[in-house]
Amino acid sequence: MILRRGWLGQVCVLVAFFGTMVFFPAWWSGRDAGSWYSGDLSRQQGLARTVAVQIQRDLDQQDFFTGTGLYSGEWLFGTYLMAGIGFCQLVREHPEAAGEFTPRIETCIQTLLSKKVREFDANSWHEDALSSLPSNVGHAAYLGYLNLLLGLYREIAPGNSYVGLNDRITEALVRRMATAPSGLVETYPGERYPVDNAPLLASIVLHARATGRESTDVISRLESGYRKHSIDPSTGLLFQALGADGSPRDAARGSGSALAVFYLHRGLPKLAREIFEAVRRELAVNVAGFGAIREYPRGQTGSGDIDSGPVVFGFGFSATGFSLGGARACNDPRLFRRLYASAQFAGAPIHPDGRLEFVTAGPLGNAILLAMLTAGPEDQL
Amino acid sequence: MKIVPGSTIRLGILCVAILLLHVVLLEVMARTRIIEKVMAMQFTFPELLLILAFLAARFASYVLVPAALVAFVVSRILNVSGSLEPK
Repeated sequence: MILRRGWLGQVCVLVAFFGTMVFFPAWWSGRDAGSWYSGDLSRQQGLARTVAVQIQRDLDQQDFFTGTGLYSGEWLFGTYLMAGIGFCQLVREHPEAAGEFTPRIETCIQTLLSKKVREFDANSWHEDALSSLPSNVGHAAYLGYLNLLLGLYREIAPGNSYVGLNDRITEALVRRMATAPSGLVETYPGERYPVDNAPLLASIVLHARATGRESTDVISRLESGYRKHSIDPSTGLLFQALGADGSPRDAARGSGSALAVFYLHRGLPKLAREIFEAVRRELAVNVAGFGAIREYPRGQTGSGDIDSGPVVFGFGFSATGFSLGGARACNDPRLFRRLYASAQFAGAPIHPDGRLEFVTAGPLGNAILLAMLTAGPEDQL
Repeated sequence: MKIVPGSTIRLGILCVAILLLHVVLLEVMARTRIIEKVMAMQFTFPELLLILAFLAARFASYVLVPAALVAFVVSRILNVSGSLEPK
């Protein structure tokens, strides 16, 4: 036979070797992407149960390794926030799971309202966010993110016990955003981040929708102010930080833009889609079937920070993970599959006790992945 | 790359070693949660080396091991027994 001991047989072996090297890893890593994208309940439940176990451990700042109290406080806050959002999205997509996960949502909200979680914001402002609602002072991160979760919970449980708090926070945020010269509420004194104002703005829209006042001029004005100051006209991405006068203080970047798409998709799907298109156009890269999102637009370079995580060969860890949510919310199954392959490769999922846990991710990473993998989809709005 | 019985054993040992290393480093990553330190940009040089070793082992187990096994199976099917290296 001509293949035996011949050059053609050896070529076949080489083709098999290199072909497998190129195509197998992404195929294998992305093999579960389809069921995640279609909203398979058993997968969502598997990860949600892991997150539920992790948040029941009564986490505190010492459970995180950021090196500073502020960032550890933010990560503690982010863990319960993302877990709560993930549970809300799961229940919204699968109402039959409400019995199991509604108590988890309540746990997340109660913990977010606890002193230990509010501490990071209170220490920066030297006042408590909830005690100072009548004032016009900032607290964009704590109040905006919390209010988004309250709004999402209100969608699936209109009579829940936090409706009054949702009303009071929304009233304060509308007033603060409307009177801010830059159109953005401060996260910390003197610091304005468009990404932190995305959930804030989305929470205002969700509240208006829940109370039947969605088509007010106030929302249109807030949205146009947000667009005017936050979006880089040359790329369509979000600036990472703004000054007091609304001028950019940092580049338009992937981590902030990708996360904003996720927060905005429920309340402002058109704006979310526009930013998502910019992320896909300016930042998305396909490496042998694995998806990655650049932290900076093509032609620009920069370093990583606490927001982006490490930037390796231009790719941002956070931007890549956050874009999973945008890809599902904005109905892009191809990008979702590629990004999921990357998340699977780096996250190393295992299945302890019938659950699903991303081994390398820790409590915050698993909560973020739950939120991203259950985001959207847009057509459910 | 010689496809001969001796190299078959070596190939098998190499694949098993890579997979074992991958599992061990996976366990280390799970227990130490180093990835969180990396995301917070708070890692030390040894931790960076550990992360790189984990990614290398995972890459090898996802890329090299399947490719080597597929190439081996194809070579057995085609009964290719010559050397693939230039003489």
